[in-house]
Amino acid sequence: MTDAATARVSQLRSEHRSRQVRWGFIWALTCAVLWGAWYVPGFAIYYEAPFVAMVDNFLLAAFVITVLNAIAVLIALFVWVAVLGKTGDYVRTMRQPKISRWYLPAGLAGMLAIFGSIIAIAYVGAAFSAVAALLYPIVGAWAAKVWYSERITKQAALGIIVIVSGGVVIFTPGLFAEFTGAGTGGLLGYVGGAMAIVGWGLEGAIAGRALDVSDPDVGITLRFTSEVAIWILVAVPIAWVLAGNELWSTVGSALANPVVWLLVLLLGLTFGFCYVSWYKSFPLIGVGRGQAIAALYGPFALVWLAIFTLVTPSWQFMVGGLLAVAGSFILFTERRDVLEVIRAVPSGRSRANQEEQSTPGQVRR
Amino acid sequence: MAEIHMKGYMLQLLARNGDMWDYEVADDVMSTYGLSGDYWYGTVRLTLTDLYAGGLLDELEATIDPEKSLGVEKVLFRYGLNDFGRERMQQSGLMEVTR
Repeated sequence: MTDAATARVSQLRSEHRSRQVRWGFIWALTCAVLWGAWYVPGFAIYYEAPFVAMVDNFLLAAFVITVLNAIAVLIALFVWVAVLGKTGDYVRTMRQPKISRWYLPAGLAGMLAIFGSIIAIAYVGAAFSAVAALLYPIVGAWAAKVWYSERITKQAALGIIVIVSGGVVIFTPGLFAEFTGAGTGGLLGYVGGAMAIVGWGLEGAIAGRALDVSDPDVGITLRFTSEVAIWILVAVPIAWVLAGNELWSTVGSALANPVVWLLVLLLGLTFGFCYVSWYKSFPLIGVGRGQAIAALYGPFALVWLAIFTLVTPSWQFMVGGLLAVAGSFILFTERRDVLEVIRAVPSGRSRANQEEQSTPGQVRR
Repeated sequence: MAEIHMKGYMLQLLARNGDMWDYEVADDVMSTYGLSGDYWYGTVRLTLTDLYAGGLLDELEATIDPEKSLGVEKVLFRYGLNDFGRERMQQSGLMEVTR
């Protein structure tokens, strides 16, 4: 090959690898936008019959909404996988028990996270619940690093911490009021908050492991298949025992309200595609970075809610939002060769190893 | 039609054949699963990118050959399975004993 041809290949190669990393970030950001948007139907549905009249029975209302949400997401994902022509691959992947089994704990962890965040809302408050959920990338990044050597550099760790702090600052106005007003039920609420942090963090780390050997679109559909199965086979019978027939009357009146159907459709689409984007980002930029960028859902949720409710966010929102954006830039501007292969795995001939052995002047940027 | 899912099949293909160019992998996958067209070609290349970013494959060589990439000047990669990739395959029940 001539020098010019070699230079051209090298240029196209580095453009291709940059695009690979950029798409990882684009997918994670898409997840954040959709996750934030999910809160609009997510709040609106509590103002619809029968849920609006269930102030004294918030947990049952939240339970029914969460189950309907999971079912709607699964239906949206089935359509998505069919459109992509991957339905056959969904069945083939499910038949590989050593691969598909990972999506069961992933689904369970995600399910405990969402249920924990609801408990946190019920017993402490919405702001506390939001802050708790935003901390999950710390658990995810830590687990991915310890479990399969994901490269969490100092710069990446700093970026993750800055993004998460930005999210926490945003929700401070409500936080302290909730702490003082939490009362005796507070402890249960804090347990719920911890479930959200650990649940979503671990889900990402487990998904990162499973996605090594399976497709993201198929993987996320398997994960929701597991979640819906756990809701229907385990959680619904327990709720039936605890709530009695009120469970079924609530489901019945919810399904009799056309607005609930519309909102559940919106919940399924936003949550479903937020999850698709989340899973697509993990193989490209890793679980720690993917989760941290996705944690921008906190600021996005407030933007979406401000648009729909016309309530202006507080000054803390500006400060926290700026912090979150700054943290994203810290992650995004990391050296491309660090981001190109996201694992520090032993490999005799990997590019990463060659670079570690090379002199600093030869390292590509 | 292979019984295994596509990403698993691609790993097995690389384990069996050694190093392969991305278009060779795409051709094999598409003929095995009875697929055709740019969409599936792109899907296979994207899956290879996932596997590379995840550290299961090594990139051994890059080149340009418009004839191999539907007339467009596109960078092509030759990939090889590495030890981590083999380890993941073993853990996932994807390693064939003999074939």
